[in-house]
Amino acid sequence: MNDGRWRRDELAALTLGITEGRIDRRAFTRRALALGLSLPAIGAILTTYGAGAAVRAQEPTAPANPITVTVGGTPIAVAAQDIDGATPGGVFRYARAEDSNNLDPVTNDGNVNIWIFMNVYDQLVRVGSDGASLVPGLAESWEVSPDGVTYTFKLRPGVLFSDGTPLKASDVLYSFVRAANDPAETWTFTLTALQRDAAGQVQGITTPDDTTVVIQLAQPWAPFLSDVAMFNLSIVSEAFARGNEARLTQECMGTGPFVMAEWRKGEVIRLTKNPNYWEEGLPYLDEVQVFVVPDDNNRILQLQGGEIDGTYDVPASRVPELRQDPNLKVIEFPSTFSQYVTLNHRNPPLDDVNARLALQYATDKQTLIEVVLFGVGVEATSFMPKGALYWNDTLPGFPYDVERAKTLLAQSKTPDGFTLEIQTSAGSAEEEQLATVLKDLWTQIGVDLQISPLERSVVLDNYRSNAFQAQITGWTNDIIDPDELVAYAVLPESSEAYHTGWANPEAQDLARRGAAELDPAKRKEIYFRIQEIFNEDAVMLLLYHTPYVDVTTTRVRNFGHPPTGQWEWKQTWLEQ
Amino acid sequence: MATDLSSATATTGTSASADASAVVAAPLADATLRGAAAVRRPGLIRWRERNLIIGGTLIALIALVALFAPVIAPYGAQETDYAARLVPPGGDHLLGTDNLGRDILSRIIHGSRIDLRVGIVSVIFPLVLGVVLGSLAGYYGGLVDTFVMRLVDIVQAFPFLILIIAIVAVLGPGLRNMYVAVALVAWVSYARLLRGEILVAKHREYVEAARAMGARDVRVVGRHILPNVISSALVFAMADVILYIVLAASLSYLGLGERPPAPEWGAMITEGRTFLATAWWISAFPGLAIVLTGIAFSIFGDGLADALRPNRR
Repeated sequence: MNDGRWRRDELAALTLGITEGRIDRRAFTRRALALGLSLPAIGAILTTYGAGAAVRAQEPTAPANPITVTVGGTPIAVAAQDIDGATPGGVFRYARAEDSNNLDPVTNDGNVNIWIFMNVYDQLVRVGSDGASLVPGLAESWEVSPDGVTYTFKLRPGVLFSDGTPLKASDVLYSFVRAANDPAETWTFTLTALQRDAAGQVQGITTPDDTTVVIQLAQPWAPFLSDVAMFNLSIVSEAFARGNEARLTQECMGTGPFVMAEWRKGEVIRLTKNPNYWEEGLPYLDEVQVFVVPDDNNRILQLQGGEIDGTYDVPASRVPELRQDPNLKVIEFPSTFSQYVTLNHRNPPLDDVNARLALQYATDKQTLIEVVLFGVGVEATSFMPKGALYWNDTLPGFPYDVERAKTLLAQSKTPDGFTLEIQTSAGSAEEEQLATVLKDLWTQIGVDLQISPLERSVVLDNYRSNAFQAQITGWTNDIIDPDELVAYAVLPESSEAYHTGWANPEAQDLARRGAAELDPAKRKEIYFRIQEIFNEDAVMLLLYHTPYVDVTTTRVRNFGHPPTGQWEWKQTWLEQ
Repeated sequence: MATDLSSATATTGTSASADASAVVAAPLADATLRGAAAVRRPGLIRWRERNLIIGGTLIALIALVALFAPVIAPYGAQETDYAARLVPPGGDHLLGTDNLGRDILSRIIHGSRIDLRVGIVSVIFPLVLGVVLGSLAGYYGGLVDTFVMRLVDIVQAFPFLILIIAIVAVLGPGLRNMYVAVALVAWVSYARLLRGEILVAKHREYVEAARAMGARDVRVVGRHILPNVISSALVFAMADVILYIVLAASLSYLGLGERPPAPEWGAMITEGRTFLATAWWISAFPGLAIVLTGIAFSIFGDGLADALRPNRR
């Protein structure tokens, strides 16, 4: 997540969960987000249990009627669409800082890839554009058995891959089995609930006919529908890929709104309209061209000069200026990005909770947001993204209070302060500014912060091997159920709690129960308590959430960038 | 040297024509060796001095600024003022402030301590190492020469900056490691230079005379040869000072130099990178400081080269 890109989250309204999991830290770096959601998951389960109303009441940002959306089979009720007078046609030119490197959904952990191929592939279930709902994708409906272990998906009839071959249940089976057996195990943890035989092969997925897929889980698993909506379960054409899976890293064959027509490495990816796309009238655009322009200033100049129609990766410092430009729109999309400083509890002085608490209270988040983010961000009070599913809205966080910080430090084993080393990625202006402001703030309580900019790969290696005192880290959700983020943040087997070494038996027990618990009210209680414990122990320094910031020209309408991160261009259109 | 030669010829003797040609040839070769400048501007003594004086004065000024930085600088190097961020040049902040509200002028002044030190310290180790190894190679020749020169070839096979970056990346960021890297890499230029000079000088009569007097090798090289050949290395070192200041700046730019938030000039340029379009002063003024220091050492080096040449005659 902390891939140096500009994700910020203001998310006040997002309902999402997060996760990442026992993924190692690749995750950490770049992962990206993709995926799924859980409300729906819950919706489906609820349907079975008939408790839907209760959930809605707890989740004010949930779609008005999750149950209908989930099971009803109505395609896509997306919030806040700007499609009045939408005219089809046109080429949308977009620029970003970094090229893709692998377009295979199963082995992927890079936003640079996921955000692109999500326009080419569909999943059985998908996250609504509001990032808070689960809506039908290639499955027009599904049923969940009362015991929560049997899922029956009914495929949408008449769907064609972009090469004209029809989608069949066997393609779904192929895609699921491939994802669950990924030898690199990048994402297989999301599918641990799938039944396996003694040899570890996936069992229990059957296709009674060409339009039905039945999945039998080994145990009840609350986040399952969210996981189904995740990018690694993109439905790939079996005829295209079987026996030659390697081609999927460079080519795509999906049912999505666009076709990957050309990829000139380091230069441009051209996505053309899929003539066989199943959603009536979509996409509006004939073509999307995604250029690679590494230099921030160049991208902005090209945008201002009309050479491109939109861009991402805009430095925060340029945002105020771009807002003034009458020809441009600066769009802040709610994201799930959170910025933290992870603290290593294994050694003094950070093994002392009072020392960690002192740092929390000595950190002026408002100043950080103002200085580093130019105001584009909101203070974090929990390790979960603000507004996410089961985000604890009752936590006060750690309001800036130097006196309190001093008192806490006085009660710690290092009452006179200490020297602390923070590792940052060399070349990241934002991390360096962040660290510099922290150094400045912490001198007030006698903490001397040493900033060590290191090569990015060294920072990651140190993170994995716990060879750090403090590091700047971040998180972006891949699915909207909290299970995976909580696993990452709490359970020792995932990441040793963000590599902090923190081990709290109560929190660990709660995290395990949370994944298996199907009752939303109980889950909420569990996740609220976990967040409370996390803050009581001051596990990490919580900083802020930031939105995604895209800048486009004013003729670009209905540009989509949902909280799970991928760009959504199928409903984007250009004023003629 | 010329005196040595002529006295030697004078004392020797008989075969006049052969000796005369030797006498003529030697000074000519010397003149060519010593560089075109001396030939191009014969007699422009004043101009030479002017370079030395202007360069020297500029360097002295920079050194004074560095020495009295805390007194001169209006603000502290790390002093932040979040209410006065990105203030343009003028008023309270003569050269403006950066995005953390730090005064650019003050940071440049404090930074002069780092950059001047970097330039000078960086040059000392390779200079000493190169002079010693180059002298050994040139004076003894044979296996020693082969060994040293192969080492030189190996180091020179890699692009200078790439090698430095690689070494610093392995050792870890920071100025101390940069000194180590520079010492390991940059000595080769001095070794080559010295070896060449000594190869020529060791056959001169004054060297033979010293040997004939029974002087040991250390004395011959240290007292007789080095004083005559070191000047080119010193002039070269002046140019290198600038190179290393720029190198430190490059490494900071890559995040391999001084730790932030030290006000190293190169690091300041980097910090201003994202603000180039909106707050040019963050990067521009530290850049100017580097250019000025470069010019000072460059002029001084020129002056030094000119000044040292006549002394050799």
